[in-house]
Amino acid sequence: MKKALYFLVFILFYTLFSCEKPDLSSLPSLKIYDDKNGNKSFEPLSIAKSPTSDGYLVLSAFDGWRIQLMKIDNDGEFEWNMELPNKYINASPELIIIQNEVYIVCMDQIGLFTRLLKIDESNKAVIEVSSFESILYPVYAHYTGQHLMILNCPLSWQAMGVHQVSSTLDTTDQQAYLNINTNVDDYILKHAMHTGKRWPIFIKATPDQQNYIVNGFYNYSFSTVFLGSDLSFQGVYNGPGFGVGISALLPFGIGDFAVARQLNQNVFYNSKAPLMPTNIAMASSIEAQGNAELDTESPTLIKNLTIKGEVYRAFLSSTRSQQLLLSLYDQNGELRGTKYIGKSVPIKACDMIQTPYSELLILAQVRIMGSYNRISTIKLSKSNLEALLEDGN
Amino acid sequence: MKLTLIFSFLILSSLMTSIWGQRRKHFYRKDNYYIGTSLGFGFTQPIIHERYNILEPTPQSAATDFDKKYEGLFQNIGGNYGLHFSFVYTRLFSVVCQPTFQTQRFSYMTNYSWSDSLSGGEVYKEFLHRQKISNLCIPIMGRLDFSSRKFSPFLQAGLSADVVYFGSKIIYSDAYIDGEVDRKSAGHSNVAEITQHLNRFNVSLVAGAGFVYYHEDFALSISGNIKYGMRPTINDSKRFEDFSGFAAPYLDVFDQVKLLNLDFLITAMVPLHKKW
Repeated sequence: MKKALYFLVFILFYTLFSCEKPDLSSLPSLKIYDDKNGNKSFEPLSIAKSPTSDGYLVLSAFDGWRIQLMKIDNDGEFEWNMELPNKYINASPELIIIQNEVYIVCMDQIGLFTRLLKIDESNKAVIEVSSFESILYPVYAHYTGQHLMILNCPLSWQAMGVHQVSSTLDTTDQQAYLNINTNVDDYILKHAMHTGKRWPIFIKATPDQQNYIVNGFYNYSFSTVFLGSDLSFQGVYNGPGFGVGISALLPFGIGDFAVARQLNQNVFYNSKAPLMPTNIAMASSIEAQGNAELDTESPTLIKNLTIKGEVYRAFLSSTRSQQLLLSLYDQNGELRGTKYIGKSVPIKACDMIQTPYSELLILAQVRIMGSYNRISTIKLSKSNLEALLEDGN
Repeated sequence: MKLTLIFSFLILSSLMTSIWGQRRKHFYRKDNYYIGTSLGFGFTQPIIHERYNILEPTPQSAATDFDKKYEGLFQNIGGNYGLHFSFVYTRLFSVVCQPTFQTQRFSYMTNYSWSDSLSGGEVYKEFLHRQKISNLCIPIMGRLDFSSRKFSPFLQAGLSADVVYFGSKIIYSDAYIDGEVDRKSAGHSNVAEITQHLNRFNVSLVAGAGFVYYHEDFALSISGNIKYGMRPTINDSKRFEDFSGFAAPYLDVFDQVKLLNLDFLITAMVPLHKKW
């Protein structure tokens, strides 16, 4: 009897002192940023690590195509926000970092031309850097590491413009136009004003900077067009009309692309697709694995994630059952783990980045109380990501 | 104040005199071992260590914070039942083990509001969150009796190993922010499991007092214990995992709390007439 008592006391002390204490600095979190105006609808666009301070900058659209900028700290706590003046609208859905400065590409409300704004974090303001009056209706901008590239699609032009901006960020070095043989003005207007379908329009460069990949309207479909470094046409993967073809893409090198494509209201993934820039083919010909639970009306994101020193290809999509599905593939294209995020409310993935602390920070739109679209950040800790690989799901 | 102290001293002195007087007459605890059962109820008070919110206030929010308002100790009633083992070292000192199934309940309220011209003005939401945690508690306590006679008050203190085996919660809501949600008329969520949000093992400090009545063939005691969980109740690494599915629909995430319990037990024991 006495021995049993001693054993119980031992168990008590063992329980008290042997439990692992979690590292509170890197815990997962979920934040939804409030606004009392229930009629204000937010659409998060992009999140970027602030190059000059701790925390992250969040770019969002609200009330259609107006622009809001928000700063949060490393734990997702709100720091400040600002609504950009009315004259700046239709932000390109990517915060651009060039030489430790963060830029926004947007449209002038009256002139409909492109403006480049620099974020002044210390004064919580934006500074006009330059205007591109020949670039009407900008729809996307991306910094390749060498050049700022801007895509535009002026109404009634029936063409998508590809513009390479000079290193001084005030003129364009070269441009090209992709013909659209049908009128897509309605699509573009609703896309820009956030009143209808948001098309997966983007421009990226291959790692060797020898090719640009333009996802946009081309000929009679929504297509993925490969351009040379001189913006000359190289090849194309045509979508099935306007039923969307490639919806997300991350280039790793010639013949090595992570791709998400859509066909017949389904999303398909190929984490190691052998796309060739000079091919002329249908996007549906790209071999890929379908996943019927993914929602075609929400974006798919593809980013690199480094976990335990290994680089993985992370796909993030919304499911039809109102969750996010994160899928990790290794460099050989093998699926290594999946994780469902969220439950019960409409949630849409908008952007994601890996933090300097090896966490994954997801920017999402969440509809709360069944009515109000709000900006949300979801942080998966380093240990969450490691567990995801160990568990597989 | 002085008068109260004097009266207290007199009452305590007379009580102790009577107890020690009894002790000289007869010893009731001839057996070393007792076994029994216990039944009781308790109240739970969460002690907040860190607050967490899902909804992050901004300058455009209706409120400057979304802190939870916890209900008081006596509004959180639970129950417990279990076994009793005691080993009598000396006539006045014994070691007690009372493995108990314990239910802890605690509640808090949150509220939110938005202006919504489409819905006809203001939208108010008030939520009452009720948690129920079921534990297996194994306290080991040293008990000091003031007398070895038939009737004895006692003090006891020790540690308890607590294992959570199930946790659940339900949320009641109404559309008025008035500091109360009527559970009979309010809408409510389904009952969701929260076990994975909880730290499964805890160690608590336990201390209490009571009275015991010894008979030749049995003993009865009434005791009250204060129990304080030394480890956090919520698992920090799984706080936002949303196992309940309430995170976004009800904007709910647990604060970090430690639980303080005030428990009352009636225990019936029988001596084991055997030398081990």
